[in-house]
Amino acid sequence: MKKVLAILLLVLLIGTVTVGCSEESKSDGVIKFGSDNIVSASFDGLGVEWGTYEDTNKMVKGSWDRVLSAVDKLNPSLVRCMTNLDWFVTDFDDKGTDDPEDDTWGYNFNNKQMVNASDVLDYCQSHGIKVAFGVWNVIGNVDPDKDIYKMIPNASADPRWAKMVADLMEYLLVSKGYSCICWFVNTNEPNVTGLVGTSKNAYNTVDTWITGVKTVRSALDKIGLNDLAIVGGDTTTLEGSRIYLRKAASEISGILNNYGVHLYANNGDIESARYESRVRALYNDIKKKDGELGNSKNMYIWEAGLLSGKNSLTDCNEFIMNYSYGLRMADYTIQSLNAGINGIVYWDLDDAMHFMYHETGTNAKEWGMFSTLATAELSKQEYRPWYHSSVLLTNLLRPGNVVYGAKNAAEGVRTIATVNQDRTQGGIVLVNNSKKKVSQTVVLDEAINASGKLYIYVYDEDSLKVGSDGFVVPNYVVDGSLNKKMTLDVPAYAMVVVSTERI
Amino acid sequence: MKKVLLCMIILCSIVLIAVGCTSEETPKTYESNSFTLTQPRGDIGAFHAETPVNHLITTTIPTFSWTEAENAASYTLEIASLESSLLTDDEATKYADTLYICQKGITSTTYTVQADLKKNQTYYWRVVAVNKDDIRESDSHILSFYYEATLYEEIPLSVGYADEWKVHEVGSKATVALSKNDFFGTGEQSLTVSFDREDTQRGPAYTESNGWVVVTRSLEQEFFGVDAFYFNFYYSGNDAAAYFRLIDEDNEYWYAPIKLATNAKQTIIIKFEEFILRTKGTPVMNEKFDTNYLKSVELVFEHVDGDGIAYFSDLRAIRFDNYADMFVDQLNFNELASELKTDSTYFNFTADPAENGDSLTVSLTTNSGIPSDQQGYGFVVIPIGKMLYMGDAFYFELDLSGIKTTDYNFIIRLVEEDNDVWQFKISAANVPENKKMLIPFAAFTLAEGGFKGDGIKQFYYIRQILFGVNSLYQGGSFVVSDFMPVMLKDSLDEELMSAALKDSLGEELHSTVVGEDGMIDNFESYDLFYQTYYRWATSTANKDEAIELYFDAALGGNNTAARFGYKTDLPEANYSTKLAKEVSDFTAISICAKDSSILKADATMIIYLEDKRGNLYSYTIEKLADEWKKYTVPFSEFSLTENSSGFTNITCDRITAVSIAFQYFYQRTSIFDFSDPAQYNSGNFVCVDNICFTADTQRKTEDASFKIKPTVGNSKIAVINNFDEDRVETLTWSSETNASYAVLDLSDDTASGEGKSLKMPYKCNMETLYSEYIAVDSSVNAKGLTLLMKGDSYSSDATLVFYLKYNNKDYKYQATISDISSAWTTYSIGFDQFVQTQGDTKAMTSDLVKYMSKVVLNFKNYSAADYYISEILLDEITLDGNITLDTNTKTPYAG
Repeated sequence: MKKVLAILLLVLLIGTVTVGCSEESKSDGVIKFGSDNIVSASFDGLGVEWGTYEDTNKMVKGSWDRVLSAVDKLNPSLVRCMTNLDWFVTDFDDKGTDDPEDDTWGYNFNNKQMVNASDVLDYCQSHGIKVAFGVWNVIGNVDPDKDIYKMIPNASADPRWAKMVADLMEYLLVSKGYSCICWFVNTNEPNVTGLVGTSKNAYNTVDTWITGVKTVRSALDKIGLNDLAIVGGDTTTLEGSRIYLRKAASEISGILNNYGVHLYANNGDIESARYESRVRALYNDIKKKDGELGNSKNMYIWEAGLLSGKNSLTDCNEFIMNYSYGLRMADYTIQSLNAGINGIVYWDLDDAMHFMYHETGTNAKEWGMFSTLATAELSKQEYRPWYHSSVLLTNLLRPGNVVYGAKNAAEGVRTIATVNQDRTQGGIVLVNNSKKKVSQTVVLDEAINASGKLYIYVYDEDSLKVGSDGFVVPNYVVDGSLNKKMTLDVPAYAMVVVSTERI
Repeated sequence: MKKVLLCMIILCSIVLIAVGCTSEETPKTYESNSFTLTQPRGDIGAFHAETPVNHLITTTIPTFSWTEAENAASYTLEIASLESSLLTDDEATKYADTLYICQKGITSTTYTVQADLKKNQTYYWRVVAVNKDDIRESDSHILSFYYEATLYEEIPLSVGYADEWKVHEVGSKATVALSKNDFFGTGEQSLTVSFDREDTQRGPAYTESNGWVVVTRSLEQEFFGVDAFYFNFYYSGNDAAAYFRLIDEDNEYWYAPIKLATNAKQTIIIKFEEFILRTKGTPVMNEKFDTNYLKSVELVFEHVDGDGIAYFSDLRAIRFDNYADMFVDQLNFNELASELKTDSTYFNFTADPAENGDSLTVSLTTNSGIPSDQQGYGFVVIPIGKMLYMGDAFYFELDLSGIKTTDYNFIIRLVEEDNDVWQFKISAANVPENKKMLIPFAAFTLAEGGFKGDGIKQFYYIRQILFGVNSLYQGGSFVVSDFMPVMLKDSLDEELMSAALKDSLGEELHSTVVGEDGMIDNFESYDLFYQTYYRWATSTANKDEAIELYFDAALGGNNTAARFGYKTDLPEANYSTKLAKEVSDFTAISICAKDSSILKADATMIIYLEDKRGNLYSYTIEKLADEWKKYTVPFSEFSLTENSSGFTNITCDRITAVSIAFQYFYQRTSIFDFSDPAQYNSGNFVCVDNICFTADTQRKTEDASFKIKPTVGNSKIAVINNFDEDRVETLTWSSETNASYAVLDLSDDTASGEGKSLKMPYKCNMETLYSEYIAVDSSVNAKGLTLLMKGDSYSSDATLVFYLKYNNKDYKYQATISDISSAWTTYSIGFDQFVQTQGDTKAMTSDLVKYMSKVVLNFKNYSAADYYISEILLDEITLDGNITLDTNTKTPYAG
């Protein structure tokens, strides 16, 4: 009897503890951002593809200042800037032999393409922006009959390629002093091999690419550019990236400090959050091969965008002008961070940067946050909605910030909070990617010593506010603290950003 | 004990509960923020737009502003180029207006658009205030403003960086670089486009691109206020054509030829109005050169073959009028007087400009003791140093009355940028009585020794103009007045040509009134050789387009034919004339032609017929014969050309223009065939005559030559005439004496009693001339002339004359036949018995017989007492190879 009594008491006791604690954590639906759900202890930031403009003559005359003004406001932490070696290599002479060892060539770094690249790099250098600088493809012509370099069969494993890359990077880092360049991108999307005669990647198998990374690494080390990292992969699609990154993690993890992918998500995966789980699966897969991922190494998305709306012929996104594109990219961003991604570069800044060349002509790749193309319709030249949503995120999620996740958001709602390193600034992002208005109470559990003002931005077609200069302005400015609860009404398909400082 | 145990358990439980909860963190309570988020709501108050004020005309993009509206949460600004875009709620309709902008959520009462508004455009705009409860348009409703372009005097367009220029991938390879040396001496860098023989050949897969180089640079720029492009250009290389090409706003390709002066530093100015729309393989949209906005600039080279390089610099858009001083206008001789020079050792020149500068009187006096090869010619040199821009002809008045002879030539020379010297020469005797001259540029030919540049006529930049004479051996003076470049199409009038020529030309330049007999041109109506260019338009791509008139009796009588020039291994030399009126009832075209090409070239002639829609139908005749042939081609045999899209066949009533074109490729099959090096041979001609519509229905090629040939069975005798088959109306002899008695007739009185003879009346104490133009076959081997004549009782004399036409010069030889017998007598006179009386000294030999062009009989009798009229009968005249050069015999006819 005594034993029975004791057991009863014990059960009662345990039951009491469980109920008591349970009722308290559920509280009243408050999302609490705290140390129990840190997504990133030191976030590397958000950025944008700001590539070497291929033809600045196509821009509105005098629009470069406008570009800089837009970048000022965007305040990216990361920039991916790609170029072509074809633009710089001159006087190539194969000596009439098939032996690549006797080939000679020179460089012209005093040309317009270098001016265009330098315009980007100058800005990044003076604004402390970390740059991944890369070369789209190996040099040469896809038509074997016209190709004088004969480099495509060996892809980036060609020793001449390594030499050219080393010479280019030495020029940029040593001669020009662009210490902002932290990574080299050893060809774009090497896993998209394509057909012989139509793609420079036709022969770029994973083994060839890995050999190429080794060769380039060696060439960079040889000239003392040991600190210049190589982006591991720059591959595209989850599955394609998995193949390349797993092998890279197995074989060359020692010479990679960054796993980079390009991910273009479809709307369904974003709305259902399947995207997050898929990215997490990739992340975990690679982490199994390289335990340093998440510690000394990170995984970035070097090209981030939405697949839905893509026109494959023109490489434009037909939804790029829509508010929904910005909302989904914000959702994409939160899901990516939750999945382990520590840096994201949006594709891309300006329609005027890149062009699609096809048999019927040339078109600008309309995937930017605005267009400075002289021929663009006026509405395309204005800042697009997703520029404003990106401005809110890139300014809030700064390098070194702690990023907190949340576990109990309502269905269709993704949310994060962030605090800077010295805990003086921070903010909360709520994305409601559902058709119902959501009323959500949030609070930051980590103490923050902010100004006492809160700047609240609401992003949707009916709510977004801009000032006389066209840049986003807060919908509300109130006295308050992130450490105090606040209940925010988030309209359907809208984003609310609360920041302790004016963005 | 049990109680103690129970108490311990309870205490322990309490502690455990406390500890347990503590270990799960004490439930944290958070303060709540106290703010309430509110936005303006309720009815929105009245407000109105402020700037830009309605109907403003502005050259800067305005800032949009409005007054504040009570309870407005934000404002929506709409701007459009169509008012309707603002009145519709349909988004698709709004954005169909490419100049539509909508900015929502503006919290300020001002807004600056980011977009670069299109200029010279009216915009409509409105602002709407919104909150959750209300929407209110400004009281101003829809306003408008006009965004006007700033008109520029000049727009500099640097050639930029080399890598901004893309070499067209389909064309031949070329290397584009930036030359940093000051090539043109302007302080500007130059773009260089270079290619070599290997570059310009891409192999069979690119045959059509061989020799075609295009370099392109984006412009994307507006050009308001300017009307021409200016740049410096230099080209060194083989014969090529170069074009300056622009792509306008609707992607049309507009091009203008660059008049290349090989190896010369050129300044090129091309007016917008000179650009031509390219239609082959490129978009054709509004067919309007939209110069307000140009997307790309291109340099295009065609037919480059082998090594070549071009320099291109100092590109800018300009106002043409601001550069007027660079162009040749009417010469002001007063301004030029101090710089006049002379080029002669034989003549002393004194040049005296009129006070108003319109005319220049040049006085010549001869120097003695000058070597004979330096005698007779000289020039006044007028330094120009300007571009010869607007015009295709020179107009001037030429007064040669101060020189008391007409047996010399007046010459104008132009020295081009590349030092080529081009010349227009006219016999003083041919200068029109009214002194008015309108000389097409096309009539200028390369002067002897004038091939100092590329030998290609640009007439773009003129270093010097020279006025002078040759073959003049006495002093005098001439006056040149009102010398100016003009457009032929604006300058043709009755005073510049005979009524006959005027009647045969249409109202429009380069047009023809087809004769009732179908004749398009028999080249007989021109008073002066350069007038052919009034009728015939020439292409420029071949570079050797030229028309010369010349005497050619091979087609019968005093016939004038034309030589049409072409250069080998280049695009065809095309000559075209429009039909002034619709023609009908003809079924074919016939052309007499004879190949006079040099260096084993066998010219191809292509005949084109153009219909009302500009479609071309062609017929090609390869390897034209070296002798005159009459080629007759029914219209039904013409084929629609590749770039045309009309009916399969052309009919007479649809013909609006006729062209003839000539070309020859040595080893190549076309201008795109690079299998062998090109041979750009000049000096090729095709002789053409009697271009005529006919009623033929069958294609045929007929001999057209009327040349005198050796008699069958007696190769040493070539009968010029025996009159046996003649009729009066078909007589080829004609009277050169304007008198009622001097009328030719046929007689039955002959030496043999058979056939006919020519009855030639004459008058004593007068000279009576009869003549015949002849063409002699090269197979004739004669040593003199033999005539079978019968005189009268007056024993009159005759002067037998013959002419040679050699190298287009006339040579005259004559011999006397004395005491013409009253009985039939044979008179044989060897060539040595003839005395040369005209032309450079040239001994008449058997080899020159083929150049004989005319025979004349001049009857005279100054011993008779009165002006008796009598007659001489000519039964036969032959070129005789049975006699010797010194024969001079008179033999009674013996049957």
